[in-house]
Amino acid sequence: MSSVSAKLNQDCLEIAVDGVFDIELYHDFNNAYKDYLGKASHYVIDFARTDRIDSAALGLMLLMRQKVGTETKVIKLVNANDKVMRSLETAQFGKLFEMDA
Amino acid sequence: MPSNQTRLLLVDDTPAALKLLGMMVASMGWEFETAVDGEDALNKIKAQAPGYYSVVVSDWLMPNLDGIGLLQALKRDAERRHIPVILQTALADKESVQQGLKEGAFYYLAKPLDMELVQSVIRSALRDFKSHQTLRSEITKITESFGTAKQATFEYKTLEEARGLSSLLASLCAEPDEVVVGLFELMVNAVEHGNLAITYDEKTKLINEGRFLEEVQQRLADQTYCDKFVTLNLAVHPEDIEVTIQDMGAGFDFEQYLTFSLERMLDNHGRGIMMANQSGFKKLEYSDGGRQVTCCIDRAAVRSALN
Repeated sequence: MSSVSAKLNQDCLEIAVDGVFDIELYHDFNNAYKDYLGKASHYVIDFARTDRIDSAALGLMLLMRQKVGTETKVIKLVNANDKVMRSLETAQFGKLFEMDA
Repeated sequence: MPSNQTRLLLVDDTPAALKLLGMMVASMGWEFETAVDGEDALNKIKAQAPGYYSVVVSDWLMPNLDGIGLLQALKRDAERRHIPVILQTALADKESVQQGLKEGAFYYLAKPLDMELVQSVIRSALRDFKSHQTLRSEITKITESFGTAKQATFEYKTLEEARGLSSLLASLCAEPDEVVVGLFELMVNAVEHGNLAITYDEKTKLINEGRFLEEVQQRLADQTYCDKFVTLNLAVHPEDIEVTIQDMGAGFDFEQYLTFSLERMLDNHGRGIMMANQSGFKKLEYSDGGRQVTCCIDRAAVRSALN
């Protein structure tokens, strides 16, 4: 069962995705950050426990990027495994998000 | 096959603490092995088959790799993340407990250890592990039976059915995780844009407004769409599988979605077909005006060999 958890650490919202990040997490992912908009100045999406992501997940991350403000790379994507990284690279997310590798 | 024998791994850098825990475990008749820190534990776990250890009971503060580090490393390992990890520590603050549980610890035991509590927590973790093993073995039996299929036809309507079916089909390949995303993308596309006729712009708007899944559900129930289904034909060959997905929609201009597009780079969707196209399939061809797509997948392929 996939899940999303979020934790505000000072001014950084850390979102962790467990399992498969796909359309099933549509509401969970959107709800994870919506209450923190304006409260956090940085965002981290942690893929340490994410098995794989699909195009719907990429869309949800872009929607988040749009909502938090797109001027600078305020969202950092971290700990992606090879499969997740390939999906991020396919969509050229390195141009839109800060990535740790 | 995973071992059915109960075997615990006890981890602590203090020999006296390890000995005490060992006595508590031995008094219940459980077999155990020991490790002196997280790194030692991780090496031992990785050296064995995923089902070898039933439960890990680890101290929190240790040199080299601490209990949280060990827990995180196990949770990153898809084959071993189901092993319950019980953390024990004298760190009694709420933050530490929360961190342990957030990272996926099965339970948190406060030091000094209470023998009855230790035993009942381990018993519960063992139950958890065994039910997981049973489930896993049943799934293996089902997918093995499915492996005898040579040809099959499926009809599906919903995204949930597409998810389950894509996993089942992917199980015919050596590295299911490598092919499941591409298959799922094509199968979902046939539902959303094919049968349910959700246009590109409609989807953009629905996602922005947070109403996309509701709209999918509404259309699935709507009499205009409720009788439509996707037909998936499967042909299994020794070297590869061929999957043909046919929807009942109006077709679409598929060419523009096969590769990366700078103009659509910021759009909140529109990458599914591209992801499928770049997932290493031997063939991916649309026909019938976009209503039908056929893909051929090398059963043995692992991604590293494709790159």
